[in-house]
Amino acid sequence: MEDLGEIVGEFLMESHENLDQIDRDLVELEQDPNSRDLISRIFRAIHTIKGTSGFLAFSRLEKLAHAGESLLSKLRDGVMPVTPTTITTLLATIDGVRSILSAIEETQAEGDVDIDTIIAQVNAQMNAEPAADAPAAAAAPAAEAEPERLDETAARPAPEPVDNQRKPIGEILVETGAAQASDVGSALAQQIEGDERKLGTILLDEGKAQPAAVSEALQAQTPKRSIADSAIRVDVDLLDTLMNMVGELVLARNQLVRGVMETGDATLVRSAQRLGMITSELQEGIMKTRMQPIEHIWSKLPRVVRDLSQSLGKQVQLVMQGKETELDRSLLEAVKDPLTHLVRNAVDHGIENPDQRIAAGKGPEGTLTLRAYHEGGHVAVEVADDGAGLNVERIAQKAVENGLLRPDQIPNMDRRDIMAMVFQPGFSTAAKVTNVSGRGVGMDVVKTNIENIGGAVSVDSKPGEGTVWRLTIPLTLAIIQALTVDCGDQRYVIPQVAVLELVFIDGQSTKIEYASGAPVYRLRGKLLPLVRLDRALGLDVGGDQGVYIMVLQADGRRFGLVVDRVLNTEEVVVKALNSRFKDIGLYAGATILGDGKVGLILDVSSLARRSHLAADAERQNLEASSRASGAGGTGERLLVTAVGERRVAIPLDTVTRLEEFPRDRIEHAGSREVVQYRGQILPLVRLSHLLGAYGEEPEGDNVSVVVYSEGARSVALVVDRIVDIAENSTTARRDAEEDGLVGTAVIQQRVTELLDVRRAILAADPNFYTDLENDELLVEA
Amino acid sequence: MASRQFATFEVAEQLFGVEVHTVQEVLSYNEYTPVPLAPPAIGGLFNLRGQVIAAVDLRVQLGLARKELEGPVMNVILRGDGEPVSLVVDRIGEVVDLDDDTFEPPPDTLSGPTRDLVVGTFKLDGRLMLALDVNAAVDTYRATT
Repeated sequence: MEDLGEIVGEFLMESHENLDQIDRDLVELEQDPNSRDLISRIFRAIHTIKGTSGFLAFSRLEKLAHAGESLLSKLRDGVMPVTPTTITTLLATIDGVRSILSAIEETQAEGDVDIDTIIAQVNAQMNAEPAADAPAAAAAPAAEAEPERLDETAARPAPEPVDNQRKPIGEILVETGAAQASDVGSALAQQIEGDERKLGTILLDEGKAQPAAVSEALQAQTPKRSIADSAIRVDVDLLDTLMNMVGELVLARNQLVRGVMETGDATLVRSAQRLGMITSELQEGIMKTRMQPIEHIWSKLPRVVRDLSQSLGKQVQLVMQGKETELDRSLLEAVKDPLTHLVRNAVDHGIENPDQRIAAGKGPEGTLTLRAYHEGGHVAVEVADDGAGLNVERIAQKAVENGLLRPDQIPNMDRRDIMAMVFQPGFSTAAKVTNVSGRGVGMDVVKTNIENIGGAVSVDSKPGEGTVWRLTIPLTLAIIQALTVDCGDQRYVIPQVAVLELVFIDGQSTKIEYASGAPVYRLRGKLLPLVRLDRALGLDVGGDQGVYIMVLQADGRRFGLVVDRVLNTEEVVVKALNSRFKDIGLYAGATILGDGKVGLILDVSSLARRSHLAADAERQNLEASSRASGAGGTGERLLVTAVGERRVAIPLDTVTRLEEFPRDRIEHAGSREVVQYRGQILPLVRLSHLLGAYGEEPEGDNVSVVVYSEGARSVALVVDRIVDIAENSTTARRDAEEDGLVGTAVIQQRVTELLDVRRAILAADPNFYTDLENDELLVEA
Repeated sequence: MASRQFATFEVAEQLFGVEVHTVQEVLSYNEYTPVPLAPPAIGGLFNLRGQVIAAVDLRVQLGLARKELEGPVMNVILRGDGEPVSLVVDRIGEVVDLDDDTFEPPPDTLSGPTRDLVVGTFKLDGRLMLALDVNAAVDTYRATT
């Protein structure tokens, strides 16, 4: 066995590839039962395995493969039809072969894999379907043929059928009319007489054929080099080493080019530029050697989908788009399991049962689409189903139950952000746990795995139309697309995959505001929490003007990172950071910048985590302090609004969102004004009416409202406009004399009325508080 | 008589030495990238032929104030455990051959952070050289001030 080690290794590798192909072909055959090509291909592949296992004396494996082959031969000869049952039996056979192979790989022996059951199953199949026309006669020659063929394969595995073998060149030349049959005949005669020249050469030498025609014929003779001939196997470690060295070369090149530019020597500059070009091409080439089409990991999925949908009684069609899209090998490995999980999940939970689908007015067969494509320096891989879609309400409810969200956050959140909660550990909304999914493990693992390789996960779904899971994967691990930014006097690098958009803060039309001390930015009407990079890094905190906000997404949350300057995007080579910096957590690695200096790559997820912790802590402090000091305690943040001539302040804590509605969207329900808002009916109360501040209606097509939400309920307070956010300094204050107000105060040198929020809300919706309890904070407000 | 080779350097007027085989190279470098929130003894990161090297400020390790990393600064790059690490020093000295009989344990009067980093004293002509414990010297998670 010692000497055979290498041969066995090759056999295992080859057989695994063959088995994957057989899996694919079998599933395809089920769709297209009459394809003789497919049957022949499966037959050939299994025959090769049988032949080689006989040669290597793996008798059980040979026996099993032989059983599969016998069944296939019946299919091939048309004695038996291809049915789902035969496919299942064949797949079981392949699985048996696979387990024996794994046993061989681990122990060098076949082990005790149960092959008898499978063989019995195969035999039952063959006997159960008595074909009308002489099955025995058809089976007998096949059985007879086997021993012979076995001998042949022992010496030379995988005999190609004759029609695939090379056609004599003379024949080709005659067929294409490039040579006369008689000339070829005489040339052949010369060869037989001992002329050692090749046939084409004889014809050429004697001027009986054109050189072009002969070379064409030679090419036709070897129709195309098979994959096996045109590819070699290379150790991945070797490629990794080459990759690292090329990385170094790129850096050395950059420095050399800079140095040479400074000398101004024209010849040197030209050489340096040429070196630059060659290096870039080399880098590209090395990177390509590590690329493999995503088909590699998709190839197992048809089988997964078939088995799973069959066991669940569902009908699922798998569509693959862009399977030639290439990814770095190491990334493919990392993506494999998450992708399989998403596919299983989509079949299990995404696509409905046939009767549910029919009831929903869809075809009984669901479609699962795998899509891969390049997008801006990344590869996007999507798993899309046309099933029932995610139930956003249930996710929100579940998130609240699990303590991941507070009820008051929900109305504030983007649908997609709520959906992203499914990536939280331990999160599952499946009504029942199946053996496939629904145990709440998985989606978080998907997310972690993808984020570990610098990718991102997102989900979008439309009720009744389906769900799309999307993986964004960097092209390679070693080189990422990144944005360089300045903060303080240092330069930092942020992976571009996390960046959604950039906003410049001029302090005039765009500005940073503070909600309870926490910096926020109004991004299209929605409050975006901000993290100051300088503060996060413990540096001196700069100003709020002339800075940039990078809108980042991590862990399914969006936040803005405030930096001094955004410089440019570039590809950077990621260097692992010295282990002594792991504990800091804020850095994902380091890189060498264009000027040769080291730049730190920021870890966006951990920035997000850190800042959210901080924000929560601040909020808790604030709530505690506002409880302690009661209403109007110093430091309370107020949203100042204009209502007619008056200024009315609303405690910022009670504000959920600021919105604008087109005036014509206001509808009437009884005596109340309402708008439709996020699938809810949102009652409006006009502060001008409530406070008796009748005046001219403000101009404009839109009304500004302040939305207050608690649980699932929301009301909107209509104001003329939002003026500012201010701190209540309580320099002068009086208790209220008027209904609807709790008092007046001087804020920003102007008398401002403090709104009695509870009163205002009750005016909009008298039932608002009936099912809410323990609302201390609000009463005080 | 057994002798060992030491690479010597000065920090705050004191001569230190490490055994030559622990040293990868010595070079002067002038651009360091600070690492916010890192232990104080980390002077910064620099680019050594494409490799990112952490520079440990020996002054901080010795309980002194940070060294200003402006202009060229000498680095003694140690092979380290798996990854090279650099010690930032004031001045590079000679490589000296020292006999073991010139070695003495650190004096009892030596105390404080320096005591933790020093394995012994060598009596050179006219001055003393403190032999550093290489691992302790680059351990930035030691209790530093």
